[in-house]
Amino acid sequence: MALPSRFGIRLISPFFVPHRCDSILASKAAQAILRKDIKDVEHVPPLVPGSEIPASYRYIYPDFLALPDIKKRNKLAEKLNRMDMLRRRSVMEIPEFYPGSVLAVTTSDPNAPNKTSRFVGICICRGGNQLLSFMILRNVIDGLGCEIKYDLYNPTIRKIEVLKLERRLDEQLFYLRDAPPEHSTFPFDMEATPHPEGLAVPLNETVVHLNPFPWKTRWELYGFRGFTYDFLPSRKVVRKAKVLAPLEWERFDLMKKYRVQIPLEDQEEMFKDILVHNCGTFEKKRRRR
Amino acid sequence: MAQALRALCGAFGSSCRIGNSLGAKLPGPVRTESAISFSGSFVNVDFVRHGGKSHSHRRQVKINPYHILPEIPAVEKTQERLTEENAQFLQQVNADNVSPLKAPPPERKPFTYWTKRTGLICKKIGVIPQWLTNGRRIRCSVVQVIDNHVVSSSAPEEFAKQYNASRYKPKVRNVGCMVVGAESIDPTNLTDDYVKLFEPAGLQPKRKLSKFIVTPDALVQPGTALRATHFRTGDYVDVGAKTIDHGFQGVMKRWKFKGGPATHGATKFHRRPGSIGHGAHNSKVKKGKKMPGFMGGKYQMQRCLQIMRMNRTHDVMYIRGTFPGATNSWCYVFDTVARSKRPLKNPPPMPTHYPEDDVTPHSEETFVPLLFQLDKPTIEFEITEDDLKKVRTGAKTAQKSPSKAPPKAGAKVAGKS
Repeated sequence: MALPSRFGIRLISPFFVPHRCDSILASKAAQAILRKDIKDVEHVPPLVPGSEIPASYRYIYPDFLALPDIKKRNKLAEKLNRMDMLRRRSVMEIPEFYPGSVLAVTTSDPNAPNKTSRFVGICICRGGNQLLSFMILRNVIDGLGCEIKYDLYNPTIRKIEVLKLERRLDEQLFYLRDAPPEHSTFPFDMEATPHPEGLAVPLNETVVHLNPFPWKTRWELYGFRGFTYDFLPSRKVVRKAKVLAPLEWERFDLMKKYRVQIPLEDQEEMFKDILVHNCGTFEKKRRRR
Repeated sequence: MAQALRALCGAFGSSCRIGNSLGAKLPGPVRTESAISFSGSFVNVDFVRHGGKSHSHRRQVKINPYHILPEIPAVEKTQERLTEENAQFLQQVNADNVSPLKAPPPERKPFTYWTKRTGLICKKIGVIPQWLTNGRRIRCSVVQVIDNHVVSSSAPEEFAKQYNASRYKPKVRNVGCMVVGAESIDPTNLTDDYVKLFEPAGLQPKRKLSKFIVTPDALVQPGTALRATHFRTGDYVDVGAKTIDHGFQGVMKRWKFKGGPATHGATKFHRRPGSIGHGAHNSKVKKGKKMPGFMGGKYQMQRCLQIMRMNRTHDVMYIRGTFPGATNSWCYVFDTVARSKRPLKNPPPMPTHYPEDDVTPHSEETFVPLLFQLDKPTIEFEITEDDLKKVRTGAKTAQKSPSKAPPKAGAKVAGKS
């Protein structure tokens, strides 16, 4: 059955969240902020002028931000959630990572022979908020692409290791599904390259050349920067891409920005607890030394 | 409708004025201080547990149940603002207030099969994930008990008088009722009549009021505070709330019909229900046919939900599962009606939990043993003997199969290819 071409836009995979704007992490402001580690608080600009909280917390701990829907927000519930998250963080350390960095996750699994399972892969998405926050790891094993979604605060997770800490040009790398497999294959015995403290998190500016058509979804419509392709199949598709391109007036829509983001005063409240928690852990580490 | 409203007002004393226009519009703020008598009865009939009509999908015409409107109109607010001296005077009056709690409490009675305790007025704060000790993720809806106090309680005899002419009469033979209020508010912005309702209980006026039907052994003194400890962790509760109001909706959203085709010459038939009755025998529309109409905005109950966790400082309960209603909306929590889940062997505090009864100092948070506490070490599964047996047998078969077991025909084909 040949449907008219106007129905082709709906073909979007369930995990994929269309993100038409540029990556926040790869923006110039983010690069300036993420240049130094948390410890050198003096060099990092504060979140709000006059506060102790560094601005880099916005990118390092995005899971502490609540859902920016005004109707669904409740301050007490957010507070209780945060306390739960800190409790879990006191037991298991959740390291700093970004979409694009390579991770290894060991979980306790009742069906595995040793009751543990380990998975290595590139983080292609980091989403959710508070206790619901998750990440998706991707790897190609024996020519088969595997993706696993982990809840960050799931108590069955034993350990999260960062094998390679870096950022990419995009916040979502779902287009690796249509890329050649060498871009998302990582050996399970991959050695960790340690990231020295105080250095900037490197921005990996590799541009992936995608496979020829057909693709899983139409990646070219959403303004990703991290891939190229040879040609588009027909002239109609190109015309449609123009229609779906981000509108110019959206940049000046202040109310839209306000609805999507959480105001800075509220962010300050959310990051206060983790700041206290971090100070405590740093002191502990110093004592051990 | 006029009859219903009259019957409703008859419960609170005959002298209540309604006005001539009895349509969808009610008369404005009726401020008749002398005309209304407050003889222990209560005004609001917002919710009655087992009352209510059968399932009808028509939206009820919105009638404000208060014949006394709580808030002063905005124009009058400015006129009635207090001076400092008056405010001080009011504070003194509040200090000298005679609370009914100074009288000795009534005799306590045990929890039986037939007792029906009060419910609580709560606010649904959110829905969050929690984990069990076996690693399974569950959904818990978080509920806060906001400042609940008993405003009035009436014995079965009084309650029968209130509903003498109404449809509740046969049901309430040996049942009393209690009015509970939640979330106290500033009395300076309210009408005198509304504030007077709370005087006999010695309380601040409340934003939300509702009536609970209880058995006479579970009546609580007016003025007492109801907290989340009215229930315990592990108890099963029923939760009632209003579903999200979607307004008038078509048949695809309301009943999940499939609609019509998008193409192939379909004109004006994309979201329609199709035929609703035809043929020689059924040449009419059957009763209860699914049609477009008002969706949501209805009171519904969800039964048999377990309380997994409780925070005493904030009066917050974590209830396993979900129930209707959006976040930040009101809901009512009761003991379950389900017989198998009623805690007869381990009875709950009767008529409610008093903080004086605590023998041992209570912890801030209580958990069900099945629920994982996030500050405990990570879940690790032990290797049992059965697992070891499986490994051994698996190894044996793996060794034997190439030598002893003859290869099958299918295996050969697979090997060739």
